[in-house]
Amino acid sequence: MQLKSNDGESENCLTSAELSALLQSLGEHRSREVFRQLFEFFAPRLKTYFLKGGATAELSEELIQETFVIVWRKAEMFDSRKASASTWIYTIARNLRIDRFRKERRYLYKDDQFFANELVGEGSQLDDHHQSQLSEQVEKVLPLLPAEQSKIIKLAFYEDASHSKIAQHLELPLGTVKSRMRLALARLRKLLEGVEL
Amino acid sequence: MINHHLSDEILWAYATGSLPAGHALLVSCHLELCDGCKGRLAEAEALAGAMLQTAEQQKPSDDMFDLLMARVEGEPAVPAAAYTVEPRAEKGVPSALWDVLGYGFNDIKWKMVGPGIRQFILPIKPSEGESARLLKLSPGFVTPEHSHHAQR
Ligand SMILES: [Zn+2]
Repeated sequence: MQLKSNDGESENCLTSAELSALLQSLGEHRSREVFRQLFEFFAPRLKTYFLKGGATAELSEELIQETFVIVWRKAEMFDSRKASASTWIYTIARNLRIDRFRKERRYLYKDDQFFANELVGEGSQLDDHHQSQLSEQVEKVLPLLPAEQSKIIKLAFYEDASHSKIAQHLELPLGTVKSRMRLALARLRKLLEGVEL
Repeated sequence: MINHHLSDEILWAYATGSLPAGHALLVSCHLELCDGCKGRLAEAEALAGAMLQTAEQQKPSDDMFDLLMARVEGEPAVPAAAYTVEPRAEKGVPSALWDVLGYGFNDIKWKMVGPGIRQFILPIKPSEGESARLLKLSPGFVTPEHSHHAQR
């Protein structure tokens, strides 16, 4: 496998396929250099994720470390047919955040369950091709959503705000929040299908 | 129980961890039984993964990688499988529920609350603002008809 060298500026533009190859390689060889590349790509993004979720700078860094300790330990279980590297690392980070901030839900979000899940064939559009392109597509289509819709999608993502919290926060009726979220997700799905063509 | 499926907005809330605890439990029980919704959850999680991949970047401290490396290299090499536990499975008991109960349906201490109605309050802490009644009802569907002896 060809590894990208760390040449400063361009280091943070890896594609989904490259990221998945790195994670797979980490599982096979536990190379420090590969680990560093994954760290350099994801750590700054995870920092935003944890900070926007309400963690202090200190706690964010602690959670980034925890995330990567798990990545190191479990990399050999990564299977690029099941999930992209970003999705795999996202679930680890999400579970850690729940463990820290939403203790009452922690019994539901365990890495084991995610990693043990069998391939879901039917109902899922996520073949390899789709997986490896999805992030680039999302980047293109997210800005196409009306602001009021993408705001609601992001509030759930970054702040794990429940529908009722979002409603409070935006001073909207709960029904409006749910329907906007439904619209946004349906729209995203359509846009993603369109981009793929 | 599979009369209706999970909506996109519920799956998104579940994928982002933002569903209140009791509701999330119901969702995860449904997911264990429904491959269609499981596939759609995978899509929602892929969307979340893509959002992480395209998130803004904020620089972590300079020494973080070295600290991290020191930490993982100090660990004994253990196969990844040793860090994972097979999800518990028992006939008819979704593993999410098993994890909450710690035992199967047969050992539940049901409480009579009305003619032919028994309930069991799940030993989980409901999320803020969540109705506790939801939790009381959740195991109800397992014993709508036949009676369990409330012995023991
Ligand atoms: Zn379903």
